[in-house]
Amino acid sequence: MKVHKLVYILMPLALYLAFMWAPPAAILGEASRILYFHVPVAFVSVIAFVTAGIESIIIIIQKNKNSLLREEKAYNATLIGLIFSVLTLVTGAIWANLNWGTYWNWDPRQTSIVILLLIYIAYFSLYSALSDNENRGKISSVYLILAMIIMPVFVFIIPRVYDSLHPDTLINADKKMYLDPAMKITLFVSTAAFTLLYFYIYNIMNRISVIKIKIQEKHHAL
Amino acid sequence: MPSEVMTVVLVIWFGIALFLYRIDRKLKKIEGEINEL
Amino acid sequence: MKGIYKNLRKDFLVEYRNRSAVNISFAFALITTMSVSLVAGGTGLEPHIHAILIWMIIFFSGMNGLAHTFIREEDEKNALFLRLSYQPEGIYISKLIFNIIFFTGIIALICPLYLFFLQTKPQNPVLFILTAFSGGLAIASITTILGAMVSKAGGKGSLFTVLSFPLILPVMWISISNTWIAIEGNKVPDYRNILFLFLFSGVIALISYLLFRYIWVE
Repeated sequence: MKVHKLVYILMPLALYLAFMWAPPAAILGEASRILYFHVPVAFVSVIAFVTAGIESIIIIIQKNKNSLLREEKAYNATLIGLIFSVLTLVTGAIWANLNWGTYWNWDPRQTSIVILLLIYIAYFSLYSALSDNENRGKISSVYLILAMIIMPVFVFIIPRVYDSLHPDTLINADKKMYLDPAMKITLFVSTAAFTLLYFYIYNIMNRISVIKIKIQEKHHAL
Repeated sequence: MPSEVMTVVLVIWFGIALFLYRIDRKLKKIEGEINEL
Repeated sequence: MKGIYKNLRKDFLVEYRNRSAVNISFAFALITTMSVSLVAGGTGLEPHIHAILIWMIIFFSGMNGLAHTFIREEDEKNALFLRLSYQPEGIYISKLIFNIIFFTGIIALICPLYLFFLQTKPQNPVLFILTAFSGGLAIASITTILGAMVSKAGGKGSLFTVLSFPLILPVMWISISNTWIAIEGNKVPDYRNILFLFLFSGVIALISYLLFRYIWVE
């Protein structure tokens, strides 16, 4: 439970490593440092959306009525995922500008992140449109599950199938090619730091949700 | 150049960290009070 | 179970009798195609533009009609009756099949008309037809499940567009590029795209089938 508080130590460390310790990359130079933000932030948004999907699956499986907390948790996870997706887009655009001169060029990978963003923004529209429906939790859970299944298509498949300027992603590429050990360590620490940050923010938002629900229940009891 | 960017980002981080820390403490307080209710 | 599907096919007759939504979509398709051909008939447009125009017309015609399968049920208060009488899965299948048939019909109306009026001949007719069908299938699958969700949320028109747009956009993107290749005939056709669209439709339909009851049953 308290592990995520380590972020207070880990994040400054990651920042220091990213900016001062890691060497500049061979061709890209100092601009490569944005890698240590872009990758973790993208990673976190995937984790967030998967969290939302898993909570939604549990809501569906557990047919009992009181899924209120899980609905909130799925909502919180999606919100964090959305924010981090925007950050992914922004950091990616900065990288694009530093490397190729333009912030945006409808590259398949950039476009698929926008689509992902729209999919999850649509979730919030659905959620508020269902505000007076008792079944809101189950319906929005179905949407999140659908979104979670489709998400890998946009994040992993489409950019591979269509030629893209985006450098090889970590899962596929041979890391040994242009990441030397110092960069690998920095990237690892940075990803760990951002993941901890995600769990910390998620934890805080969930605690707020718990309090909100408890207050609502007390009101109903009265 | 990197050191300047790093300082800016560190400052941003300190802002976020402080914010989170304060919320964390406030939440702990509220959670304690709610359990007593 | 099969009996239920047969019963639900009778659903079609109900849809058929009160076919205002279907009529509107077909009318829209017709009007738009004619308008475009009036304006652009003489000029030689690039294959790329043709592909975009065809799918734009298909998209908007579809948006008009595809949401209605479920929204009409809520409007006409049939939903409760359906819920009581039939299994949710069966209802989903019948709505899905209806949407597929309806949308395929729209596409079958738009494409020949467009090609005829704009004097465009696809160099690769097989690819053209396959793309139209696979794209239509994907759009129908997406809109069925989303239509069900929107019908529960009061069925405001804009919500359906907001929900379906991000999912339909990539389908359109792929379909347009394939149609472009089919019309132009220069590039080697990549049938993987078509396969992808079929798989995509299958996955969405499968998940929708499994999860439909959680949307439908209160």
